[in-house]
Amino acid sequence: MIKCKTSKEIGGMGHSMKRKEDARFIQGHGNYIDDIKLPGMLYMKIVRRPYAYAKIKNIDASKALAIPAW
Amino acid sequence: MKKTINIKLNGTDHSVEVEPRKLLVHLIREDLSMTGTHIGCDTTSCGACTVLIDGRSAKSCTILAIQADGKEITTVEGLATAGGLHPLQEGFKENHGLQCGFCTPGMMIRAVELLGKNPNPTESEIRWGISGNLCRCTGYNNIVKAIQYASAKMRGAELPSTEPEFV
Repeated sequence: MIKCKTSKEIGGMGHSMKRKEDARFIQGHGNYIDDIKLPGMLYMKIVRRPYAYAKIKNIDASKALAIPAW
Repeated sequence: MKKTINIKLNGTDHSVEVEPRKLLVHLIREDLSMTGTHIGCDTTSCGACTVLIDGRSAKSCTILAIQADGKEITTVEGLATAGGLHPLQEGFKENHGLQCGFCTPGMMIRAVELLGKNPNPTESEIRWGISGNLCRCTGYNNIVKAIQYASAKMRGAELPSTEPEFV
């Protein structure tokens, strides 16, 4: 065990500190990215190229654009 | 075809129209806007979505909303009372039982049932008890300590030290 040279009230080296953010996390108010709702929000999916090494000459997005987004 | 279901979420009655395919976790998060319950893996592996259904812990990403019809659901938002934080919430706070906090609601909800059935569990019983809940930040030592703290507090026993151990 480490012996602290200062009292708990003074704190400093060797003392543990209580985190400020815990209160909201333990009560379910974390607000992670998936918790955020904004008007007109869209969802994104990344389509990865089927070739390991190739030059992109053009992208045909017509199929994707045909899907109603909202 | 939508179906109307009645659930009690954290003490409040709700009557909602849901599609039969809707998962319980989506009902809680999207329709009822309680985002404290998290979706970590969507495959019943991680336990971030754990809620209490009539007092029993269950992973809400593997239960359909319509299966919860007529049931009482408790999520992390329902743990604290007017009297203050739940002993488990206090335990996690005092023992540094969380970093990012993503697994924490599921961990605490799981521990509610664990301590309900076994008010004074051993360390290995706690570890076994939370084995369906994954934490990717801290490892489990402080989570186990947090549950031991809550166990002591709920039994009215002497609280274990929350000072960290140094070697």
